[in-house]
Amino acid sequence: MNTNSLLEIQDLRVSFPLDEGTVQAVAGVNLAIQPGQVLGIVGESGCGKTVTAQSLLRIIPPPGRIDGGTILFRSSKQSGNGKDENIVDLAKLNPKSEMMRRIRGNEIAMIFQEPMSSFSPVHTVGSQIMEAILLHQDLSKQAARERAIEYMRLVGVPGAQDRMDDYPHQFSGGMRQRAMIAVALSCNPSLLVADEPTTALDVTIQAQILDLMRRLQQQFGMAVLFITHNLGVIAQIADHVAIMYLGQVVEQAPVREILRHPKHPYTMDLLRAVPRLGKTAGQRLVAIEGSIPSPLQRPMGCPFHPRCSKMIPGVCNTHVPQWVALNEIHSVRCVLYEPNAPTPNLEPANVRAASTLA
Amino acid sequence: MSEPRPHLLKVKNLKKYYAARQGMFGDGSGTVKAIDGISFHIEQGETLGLVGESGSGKTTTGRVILRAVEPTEGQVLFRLNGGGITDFTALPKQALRAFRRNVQMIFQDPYSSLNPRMTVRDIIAEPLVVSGLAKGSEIDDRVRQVALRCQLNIEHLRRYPHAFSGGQRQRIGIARALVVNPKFVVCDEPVSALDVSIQAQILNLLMDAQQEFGLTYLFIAHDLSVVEHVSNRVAVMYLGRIVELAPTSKLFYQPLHPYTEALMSAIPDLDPDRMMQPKILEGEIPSPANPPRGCHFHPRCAYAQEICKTTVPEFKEYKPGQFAACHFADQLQLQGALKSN
Repeated sequence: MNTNSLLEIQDLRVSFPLDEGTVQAVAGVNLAIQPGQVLGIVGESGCGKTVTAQSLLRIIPPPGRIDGGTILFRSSKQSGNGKDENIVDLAKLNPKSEMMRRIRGNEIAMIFQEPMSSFSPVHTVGSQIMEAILLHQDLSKQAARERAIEYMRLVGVPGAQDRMDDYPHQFSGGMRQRAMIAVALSCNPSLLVADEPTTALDVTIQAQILDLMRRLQQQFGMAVLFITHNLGVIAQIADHVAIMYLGQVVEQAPVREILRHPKHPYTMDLLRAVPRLGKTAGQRLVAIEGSIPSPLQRPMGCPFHPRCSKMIPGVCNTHVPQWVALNEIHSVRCVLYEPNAPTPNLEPANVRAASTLA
Repeated sequence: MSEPRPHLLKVKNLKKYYAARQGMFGDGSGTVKAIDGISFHIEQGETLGLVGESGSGKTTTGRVILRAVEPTEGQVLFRLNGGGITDFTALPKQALRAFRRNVQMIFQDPYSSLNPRMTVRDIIAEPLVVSGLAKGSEIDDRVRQVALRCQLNIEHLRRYPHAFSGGQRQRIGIARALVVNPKFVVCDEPVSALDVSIQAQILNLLMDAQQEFGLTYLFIAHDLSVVEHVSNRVAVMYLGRIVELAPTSKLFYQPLHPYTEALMSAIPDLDPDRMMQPKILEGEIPSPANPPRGCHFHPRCAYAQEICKTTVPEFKEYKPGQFAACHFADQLQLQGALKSN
């Protein structure tokens, strides 16, 4: 593991054995997050971004299972005799083990798209924030209550003291998301996983929450793994970006680099497919042809090849592209950038297969 | 700017009130003013974008215009092909059914808007059959023609909708709307449930179809980048009222209503160096059951004065084609999402 990284995922594989067949939801993901960094994961339906996040906390819903790879996390918590740092492979831990419970919520916290379903409807919001605090910290009930009020204020819930005793349904969507952030922050995690936290919100409320998250991230200095499908949101919040497609990271780079000099054909096409203010009005967009394949029918070779405008027959449909580091900060998974790319295997069977899929 | 075109649709003082039960046991009563007196027109062949946040009444507006829900008050007038004016709101049942083929709707959720027990062919053919426009083999010819136009595979017509992806289902929904050769289509969030790569395909299809068949669209959406991309003019709704209506570029460069300004400032820009500086709106959207007095927006407005708390601002034209409902529309210098330079 790199000496600086907070988290390093290597060749992570997660599958869901279903009656219809096995879904390879995460098919070899490589990711690294530095302390205090905001890493955005962008991708469309079925790209595996949520399952990747769930694997960090070991909360993959059944029947999903980790088939391979490592998730190295630098765990460092204050203990009796000072700071205690060690590297843990989360992929090897038992999801119900003591260690995993201590890390989950305490060192790695998570917020979700729909805060309504993350809160219990029969307990007050305040008691649920207190529960999280009491679970991980040695405080009296009274102290925990004060702590909870403090965090409610911090995330901008007006009248925090009075609203402690309200139930989740009495909160609006934006306020629930704030309360959710309060729960997540209450234990001062070193990594916050945010899965589409603003997708269900109106645009003005989304702006408030992004603004809040940016401020809190700087104040607490925590790292954030921010998952979204919205490229605009990523541009506004992330330092680094990983683009995912069908279970793989296809490109990772700093946000400006990836938005201005995308290398992977999928990233390029994705950026061209979004309407841009003042630039595309009234014009046709450059659409990516075809649709996202069913996860039960992963294409051979590069999973993007049936939709790729730069597809090389005999290569892309047979050869699985390698993860190539273009330089220290920019990596991509595409045969166009492989130093020893295979030559086209133009056996008639391959060419035919390629043309029917394209 | 193109020549003014004839109006295809005119909406006059449209209202839709719902009776609301309040209190824990429904023992109180009140009125939810989902739409509270809106007026606008749509020119033939144009796209009017309609934007607003949850509870603004944008979806209800689309439904009332098509009489999927009956309005409480107001008129919806159509003038098709420069012919006579039809008061759509006053049409009796029989005539309404005959007229319906001119006006169609495309829905947001392609998963719940298609009948799972019908084949794709039957789904697309249904409006033709109901309106009696075609019979026998004509139906299949027309279905095939429109399916091809919407880039659907003819072989798939025999299948059921569950077998299709979101993008394909939306194509089926569009084919169903276009099969009767409508003049006017309400598109209610047609791309918001779709992935980015599919969204572009559907937007292109909608824009091509508009050109080809001379369609007029009311395009309802919450995504301002999408609305800017497709619309000639845009109306902004807040709590059941239109607060601003203007040609798209004017609205995005120089809005006249503070709410429009706030919406624009909240669009996350794709350029990380154009950091979003949202005009953070105080508080949240009030409940439409209990809207603030005066200008509905005043409790959250940074520019509000005494008069805003008591008097409803008049919706009027401040610049050519640019209407706003704000007491200070001609004094404020507001920022749009786009800057001219």
